[in-house]
Amino acid sequence: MESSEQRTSIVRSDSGLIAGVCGGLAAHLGFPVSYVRFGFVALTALGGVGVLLYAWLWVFTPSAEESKADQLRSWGTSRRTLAEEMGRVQQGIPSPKEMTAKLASWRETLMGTGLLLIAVLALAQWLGLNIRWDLIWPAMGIVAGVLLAWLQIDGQRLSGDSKSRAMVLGRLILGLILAIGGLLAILSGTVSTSDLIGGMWAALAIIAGAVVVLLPWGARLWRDYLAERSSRQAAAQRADFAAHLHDSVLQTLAVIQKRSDDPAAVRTLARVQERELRAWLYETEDLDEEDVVVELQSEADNIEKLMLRDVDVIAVGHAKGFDGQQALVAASREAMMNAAKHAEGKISVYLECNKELVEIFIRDRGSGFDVEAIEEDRHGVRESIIGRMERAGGKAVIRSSETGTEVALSMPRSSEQEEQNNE
Amino acid sequence: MSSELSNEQNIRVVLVDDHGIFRSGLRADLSEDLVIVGEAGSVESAIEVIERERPNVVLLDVHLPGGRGGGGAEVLAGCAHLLGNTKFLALSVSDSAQDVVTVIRAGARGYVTKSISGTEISDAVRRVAGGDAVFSPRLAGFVLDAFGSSSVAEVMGIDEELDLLSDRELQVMRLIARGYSYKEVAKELFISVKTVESHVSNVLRKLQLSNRHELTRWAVDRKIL
Repeated sequence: MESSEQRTSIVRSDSGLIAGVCGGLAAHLGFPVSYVRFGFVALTALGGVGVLLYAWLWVFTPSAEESKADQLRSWGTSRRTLAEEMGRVQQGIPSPKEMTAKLASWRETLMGTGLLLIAVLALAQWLGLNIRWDLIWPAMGIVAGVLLAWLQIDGQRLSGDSKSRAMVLGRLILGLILAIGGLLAILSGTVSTSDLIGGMWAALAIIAGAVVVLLPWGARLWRDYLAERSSRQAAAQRADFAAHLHDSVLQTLAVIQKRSDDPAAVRTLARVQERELRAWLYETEDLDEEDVVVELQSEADNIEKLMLRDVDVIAVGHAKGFDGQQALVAASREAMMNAAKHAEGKISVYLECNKELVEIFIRDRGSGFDVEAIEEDRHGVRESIIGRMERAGGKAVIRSSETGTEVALSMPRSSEQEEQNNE
Repeated sequence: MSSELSNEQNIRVVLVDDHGIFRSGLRADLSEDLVIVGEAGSVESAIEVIERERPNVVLLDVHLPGGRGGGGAEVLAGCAHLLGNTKFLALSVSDSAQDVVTVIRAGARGYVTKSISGTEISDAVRRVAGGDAVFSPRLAGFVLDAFGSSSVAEVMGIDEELDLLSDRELQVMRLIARGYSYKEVAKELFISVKTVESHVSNVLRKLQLSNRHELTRWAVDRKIL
């Protein structure tokens, strides 16, 4: 049975009644969960060993969530096969609702059983059996306190806001009081009250001494933990980096090698990749997607990819939400497209937003054409650039010579309009 | 002016870039009249080679290993006493404002991106050797962004000469940003190429020396200063 599959290390299951210890152990040993649960109950009946074992496993085995987080951290840099990827994707699809409903019913059963047990004990006492309530109540208090506190630790990761944190703290203190009270109650059966109070002072002194001595050590542990955590974050960042380079740069290099006989394509691929990488590396400021600069840049990117041509966009200033922005960007696109189709060389695009105007200049270095000669039949330039701009209240001027063509677009903007539009 | 100089004597060039592939590519691309007298791949070796060779032009990568991590700007600082005779032309793969402005403020005479063609870069080297400034469209865009339009400056009551670009200088910058060559700018504005060159040099000087608070604010916005 073990030959094919390596035995997994114990990980407390997500869907446990209390802390998932039985489920985890069952998965580890390969037994059904109910057998393991029954085993724990039987061990508990034998003088409470089961409870201790359960507590021990609870403390020293990681929860499913923790081990998943560990896995995720180490995932980034390692090479992975397609199968692993698929596996990872599929792992991410649980059916939580169904599971919690089932769990809730199980928990009710468990509580019912506990209450029933107490009833049976009470009945036994009524029938004349000597039940040590003075031991059972404190023991139950301790168990309840521990449950209350430890369940918080498992749940803690999920909560973030101060309200739930206060609740966590409250439960923690309640658990502490229950557990300490239970212990003291058990002791009070054998030790006299005055001794107990004196002992408490002694205990406090011991705790204080231990804290003083161990405090620097604890502080160092905490610092080490912080350092470890930040290095983990750095590692995660590196992994992110590696993944990005893999997805974009390596893929592009592969394509470039395949198309090495086509210089234009290679050049453009390199350029598109460069732009993407540059954006990823340097663009920290969050640009507004509705900004005319961003819109123009993305149109230019599209034309670079579509036509395999270089389009250089220089932008000065920002503007958004002015009337005619759409028309301006659409006309720019048309002009860039014309340049890409009809002219050789680099296409320069310059965008300037000042208080009154947004201007865009699209320049190519083609052989030019006679602007007067394009008559009504040339739908492209007349309609989609000049007509479009004029209808939106702007202006388009096309100048062409044998050294190139420049389309100058300008669109007036008024700040009141923008404020309205941007609200 | 620049063409005269290149006819009289060859321009001696030092290449500073930490990527060997790029250096050899550039070596092959530069035109014949530019003599490469030295190469360096780090801040220390760059300063050493420049001190020894005293070239006319240094092609300086903005990002360099070594030194105190200051890259090209640190080389410029280390060679500050040579700036009169040795001109620096900054090269970078990055278009980030930070890189550009840092080296320009440190004393570089121009800035070009590495994707520039061999002919263009040879022209730029000659221009820089002749004492002119080389502005890429991108750098012109930065300048316009930082100095804004003259009307804004007037409204704000800034009258310091260094802190203002003249209308002509703004026109020149705008045309360069639109992708015009110096010759095309000259033709467009009905002025000589030489006048264009002097306008650009003036802008460079202002960019290097200005305390204009817009420039500072602009730089702070982009986390340069």
